[in-house]
This record gives sequence, structure tokens and C-alpha cells, in this order.
Amino acid sequence: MGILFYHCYGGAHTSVTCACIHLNYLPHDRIPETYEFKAIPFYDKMDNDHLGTPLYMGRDELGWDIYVLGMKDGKRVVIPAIKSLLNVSGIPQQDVVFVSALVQVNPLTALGGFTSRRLGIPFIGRPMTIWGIRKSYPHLVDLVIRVKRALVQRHHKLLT
Amino acid sequence: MKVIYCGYRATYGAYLMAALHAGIYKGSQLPSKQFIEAHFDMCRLYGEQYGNLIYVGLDEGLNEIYAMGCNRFFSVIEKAQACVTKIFKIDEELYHIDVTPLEGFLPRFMGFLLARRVYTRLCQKLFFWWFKHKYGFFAKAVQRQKRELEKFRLP
Repeated sequence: MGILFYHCYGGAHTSVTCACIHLNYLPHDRIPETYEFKAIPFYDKMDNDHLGTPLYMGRDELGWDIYVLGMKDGKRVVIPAIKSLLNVSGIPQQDVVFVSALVQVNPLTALGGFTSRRLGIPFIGRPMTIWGIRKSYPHLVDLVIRVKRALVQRHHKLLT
Repeated sequence: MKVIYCGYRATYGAYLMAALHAGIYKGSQLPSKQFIEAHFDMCRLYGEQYGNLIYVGLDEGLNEIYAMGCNRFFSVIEKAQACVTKIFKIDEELYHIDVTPLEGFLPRFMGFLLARRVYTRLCQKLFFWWFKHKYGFFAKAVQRQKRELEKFRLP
């Protein structure tokens, strides 16, 4: 169908969580336990040197390929740069969707991410990110549900 | 191949190098005053367009030459665009060139003032000085990049 990018600052926590909710690796109806976060692929793994590299997370039930992308605070520059490249390469824009996963981010997630990824102390930072993500988990589920609903509507529009 | 000159803003060093590469400006002589004025107008009007690929022309090897403003995100954009070409199976190589270290401080300063629409006359004078001062340096840098490009294309 197309490609959907969940993007956030570091591409390690909120975007990965949203992608995992989208792909049903994480539940919609309850807040996952800490070990469940630790088990998901790429959680708290993105290095600063690799920011900008999209990570493939899987394909959803509608056939959309789901990626996560860390772009620091440069979404106003990076997204146009990607769309501009697609445009000059003749690829239609409707096949690409960008969703910001930075909704209601708990400050602890940001602090934990900084501690884990920037300072290189994951054994302190990772539990903080998980604690913060668990706090904002219902908002992330809500975001993913709205995204999925929009994708379904788009799918129906294409069929009719 | 797409050759993309990336600066903090697209219209200063990035566009200048791209224009030299595409042959719009001749490296051996400074462009006429009208050309420099037109270049300044472009900076004044479009300096704040970040992330847009500005098509400049083709070089002798039929490579497409672009200029782009990357703000502080050159490395992120470079990786993102390179990966996106793979994801979408775009059968064309990208060659990014970071111009920011060559531009110096003045384009940032002028861009800052022009974005706020203050001291336009002063900026124009500064721009002329910067352009004349840096032109030869950029012309040499473009020649160097063309040689690098040849090496890059050889298997």
C-alpha cells in the first residue's frame, strides 16, 4: 500500500512504541509491563550517529510498511527534504505518511532517553523511559487508533 | 546521479557551488553585477526555505545538480534521503556535499537579518563583499568536488 513513518526526536522510544502498538506487538487494552517493553525490537537502541536512518518494524494488516525515524528537532526540515526527494523522483506523495509520535510525552521519557542514549547510561535511563512511556501509553494508543482509522478510510476511498 | 549541495540555507554557498558546478557561473571570472544582484534577491526571497531541493541544472556528466538548505540537520537528512532511495527502490545514486564549513559566518548573519527584514541594504553590501571574497575559493572547491565525484563514480 504505502509507507508510514512514526517519527520522534531520537527514534528510540515513543516512535518505536507507537509502531509496536500499530503492529500489535504491544496491547491496545492495557498498559504493558516493563519486560514487554524490553522485549520489543529496537526499543532504546538507536544511536545518535544513526539518527535519520529509518528502521523497518513490519507490515500492518492493510499492507502498509511501518518504519520509525529519529530526526532530532528537525521535522520541519527533514520531512520536506524527504518529500522533496520523492517529488523529484516521481513518486506520488500519497504513498507516504509521516506521524509525529511526540504526543503528550512525559518529561521522564525525554530525560531517560537523554540519560540512556546521549550519556550512555542505559541501566538508569531505560527504566525512566519505560516509566514515562507507561504514563503516556493511553495517549499513544489513542494516536495509533486514529492513524489506523485514517488509513482504513483512505483504503476504502481507493477501493471505491 | 543527483548531486546535492547542502548548506545551512540553500541560497548562499550551496546555490553558489551548485551554479558553478552546473556552469551557470563560470569559475574563471566573477559574474556580472546583475547576476550577483539576482542571487541576492534569491537569498532575500527564498533564504528561509529549508529542506526543498532546488534544481540548478545538469553538469557535463549529465548529473542533476541541486541545492538544499539543511539548517543544522545535514547528517540526518543525508542518511534519511539515502535510505529513502533504497526503500522506494529509486534507481539513482545521491551524492551529498556539505557546504556549511566553507560558507563562513556571514551567510548565517545575513540570513538572520533578511529573515527579519531588517538592514536589507547593509545585507546587500555584505553579500556583494562575501560573494566576491569567496568566489575563487568556491570555484576551486567545486573543481575538487568534481574530481571526487569522478572517483566516486568509478567502481
